[in-house]
Amino acid sequence: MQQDGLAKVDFGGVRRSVNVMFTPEAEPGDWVLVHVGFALARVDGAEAKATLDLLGEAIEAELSQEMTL
Amino acid sequence: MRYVDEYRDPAAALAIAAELTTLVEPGSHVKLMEVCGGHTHAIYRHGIDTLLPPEVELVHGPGCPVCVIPMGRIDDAITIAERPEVTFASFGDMLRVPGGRRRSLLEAKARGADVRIVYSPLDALALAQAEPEREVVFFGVGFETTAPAIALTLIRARELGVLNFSVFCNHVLVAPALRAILDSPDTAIDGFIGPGHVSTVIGTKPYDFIAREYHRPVVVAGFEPTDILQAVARLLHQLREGRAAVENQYGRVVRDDGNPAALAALERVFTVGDDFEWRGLGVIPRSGFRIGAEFADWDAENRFEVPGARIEDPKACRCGDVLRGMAKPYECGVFGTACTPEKPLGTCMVSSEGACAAYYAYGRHRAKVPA
Repeated sequence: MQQDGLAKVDFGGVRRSVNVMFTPEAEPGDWVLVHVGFALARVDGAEAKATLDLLGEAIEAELSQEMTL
Repeated sequence: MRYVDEYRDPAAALAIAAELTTLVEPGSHVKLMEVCGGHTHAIYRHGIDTLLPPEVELVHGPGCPVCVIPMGRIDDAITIAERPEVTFASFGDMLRVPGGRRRSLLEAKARGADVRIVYSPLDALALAQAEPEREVVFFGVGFETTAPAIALTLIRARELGVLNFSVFCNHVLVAPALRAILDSPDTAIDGFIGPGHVSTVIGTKPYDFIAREYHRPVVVAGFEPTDILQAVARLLHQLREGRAAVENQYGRVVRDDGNPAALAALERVFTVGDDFEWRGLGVIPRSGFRIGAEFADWDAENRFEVPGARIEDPKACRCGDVLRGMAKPYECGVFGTACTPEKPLGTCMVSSEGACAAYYAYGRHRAKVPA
């Protein structure tokens, strides 16, 4: 965290100052969605996992269907 | 990268693609619009169009901010940029957009105008602070995704008392554009893949009218291949069950109420203007932001004479039809010939989010030849 509502964000190795005034809930170590120098959203790990779980279910459903064929 | 790679899993994508075939009546025709230009690019970059059943057609919506700016506003921008005291700062993709007589900001720069590319509006504000003898004007273009950044920059400018900074405001709203498309008699869209990044700001509620008044489903989606495929599956499920609801596939960054801090900044800085002229869609009531009274001193249109040019689109260019989902890029007579990314005629070819640029970059130069 820096002054003036800025924070350092690591973009896969490249670090840049980003304005985090729109994401007051973000803490060091969080992932954020950045657009034109502003963080617009903190990535919600639980929601991200829920979406991934659905993908896992889709693969399982597909596999079980193949087995019944 | 985390939160990216796992949503590109080929096994998951193929599993959803297999499910899609079970969700459509063979021989039927389902027309889905992806509203956002970011989705258009993801679809062709990853070849998602090739994974869909033949019954499902994707059409491309107006969610490309560069694409929907009419040529007259480009000429107005050039008029401001050519003033000797002005340093005109813009996102890079606006520079090559041709205005009237095919002149662009880049050509104005070549003739001596002080035009600079910035990554963030905060960089333009920093320019104004560093060069107090210059009048720095920022070209504000974008949907509700980008407008909060400009709003916060104006709030900063006011707090810091930076008076040699102003914004030429061309910000537009996504919901009125969707209503215009739904009201248009010649576009029959069965469902919408909702824009992911706009929705981080505005949430999912602004789309409720689409389900309630027009009985069309909306699924707000992320930008990775499995996100888009999941959204298509959820739309097809709704259509099959005869439901029309707004659903959120992109819960990892989109909350139903959006981003309260960003919405508060929009509310403070902007008012919803009467009308805004959209390229391809024409004048849409209450579809653009204007800078509000508190920030009137930072409104470039109050500070400089702006001609308010109105220019017809070039007749050969079918950007307007592409933006309404009426034509595919390859159906345009100049696509890939007189109009290329190197020398674009229309905005849909200029912008990295434009449908024509996506078709050109990823080799969709003509309609699929039936096997």
